[in-house]
Amino acid sequence: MADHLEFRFRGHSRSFPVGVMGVPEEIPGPVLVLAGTEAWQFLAEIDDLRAWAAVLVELHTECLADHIAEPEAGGPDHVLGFSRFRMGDHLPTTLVELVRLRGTSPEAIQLAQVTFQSMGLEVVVCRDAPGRILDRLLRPHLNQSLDSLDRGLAEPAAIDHCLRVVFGTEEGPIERLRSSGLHHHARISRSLFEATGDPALALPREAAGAHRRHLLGCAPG
Amino acid sequence: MVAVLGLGPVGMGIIQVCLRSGHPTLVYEVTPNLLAAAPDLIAAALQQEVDAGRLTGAQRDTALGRLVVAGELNKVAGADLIIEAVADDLQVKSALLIKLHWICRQDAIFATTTSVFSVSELAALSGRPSNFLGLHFCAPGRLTSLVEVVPGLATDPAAFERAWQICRELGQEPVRTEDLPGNVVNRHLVPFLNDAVRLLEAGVAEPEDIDRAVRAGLGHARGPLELLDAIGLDHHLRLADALYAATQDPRMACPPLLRRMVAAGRLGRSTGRGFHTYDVLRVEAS
Repeated sequence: MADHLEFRFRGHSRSFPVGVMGVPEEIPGPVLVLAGTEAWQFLAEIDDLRAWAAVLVELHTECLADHIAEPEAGGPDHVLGFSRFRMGDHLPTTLVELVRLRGTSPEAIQLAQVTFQSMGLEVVVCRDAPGRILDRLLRPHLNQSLDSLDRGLAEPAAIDHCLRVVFGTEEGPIERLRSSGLHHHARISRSLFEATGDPALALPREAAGAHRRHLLGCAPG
Repeated sequence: MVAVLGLGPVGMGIIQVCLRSGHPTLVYEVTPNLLAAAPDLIAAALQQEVDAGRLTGAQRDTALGRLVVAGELNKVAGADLIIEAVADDLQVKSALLIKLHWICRQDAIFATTTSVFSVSELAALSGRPSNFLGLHFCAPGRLTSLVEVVPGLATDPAAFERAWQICRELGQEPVRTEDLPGNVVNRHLVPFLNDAVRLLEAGVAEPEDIDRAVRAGLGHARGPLELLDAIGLDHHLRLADALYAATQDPRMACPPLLRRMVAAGRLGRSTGRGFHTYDVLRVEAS
């Protein structure tokens, strides 16, 4: 098989919501990218997974181990997970979290990095863990900002201003939640709370309300 | 006149802010050797600003002309605003405040720079709770001009307004927060940074990847581990320990890895090695 990059979609992809642009013509090995909410289903359907030097499966809030076994337990060592970070309704960022298992082959990791980098994306490698890097850092932080509001620590604008200055960001945490959709945050944080049991991921009052309203089909605002 | 008590990093930063903004500034430090060295230390700090292009030589000289070093605590008696920036130790702070209460004018405002202890508790210890508040300079003279202004339960609104106005006159940006441990900044920053260290501890990712993810994904100016290196791991450890003691929040608890790094002398940029490695000469120059 020629060294090429192939995308297959099943369900909505949060990483590539409008399809793929800027696909490189050549990469150092055949790579298959499975994207979308149901992308993992492809894994059971592909006859010869070994025909690909790397198979990259889009992840959402779940772990890669939900779909394949660790290589040391007989799972493939060239299947990785990935997620392009995006905040709720915002467009995806250029940041791709590439998820490896303990026994994932270094060659497959490198090939996956080169593949995404050649598409103009920035890649970080992380171990398979609930929330990976960004959701594990961001969700407790956002919950804390909502908790601070409930405790009357400061006005929302003051909290946003302080943390914009400290972190050097364009938006503070409350602004970020409001602009990207609080219910998206609630869904992710709740999912991570179920996976980890970490109280910092338990939904504060306002996020829990947004989650319930979303489930009931109410307007998110 | 503003009086600043304490020549640690926070006190030094506040002194620079006061002098630069044109305020006559009275300085006192309890450690005799440090007090004796105060003029040289402050001159050196202002010279660094000249070297960095933030001040001219003439502005430095004018600023130094506003400096008054108080040889003894009694000399701060005439100050309008007394900012205590001594060690975050409740006994040290309360002992100083009690002395100040007997020395200073009744209408003088006392401010504490703590973000750890309760402003209301310190206010009660000070003997003048209505003229007492918190002024937490987040990174004085350096990264930001943010000041968290924290009223205690008994703070007189007029004292609050006066302190707010003085912050503005100092070229700072006051933000009101209520009296809870950590205020806004450290209540959110400390656990965020601790969480990043815990990710590293758990082997989820390498330091470079954690920092790059936060910069590219969350749009932060600096990654959390880079930020810790800049703040100083020893400083963060003290703050995290104090906030954990005050809140019992597990996210405030300092991760063991960071504690070990401090014990090993890896304090961040200042020692050339923290979560990343630095060229110490270049760090000093910058």
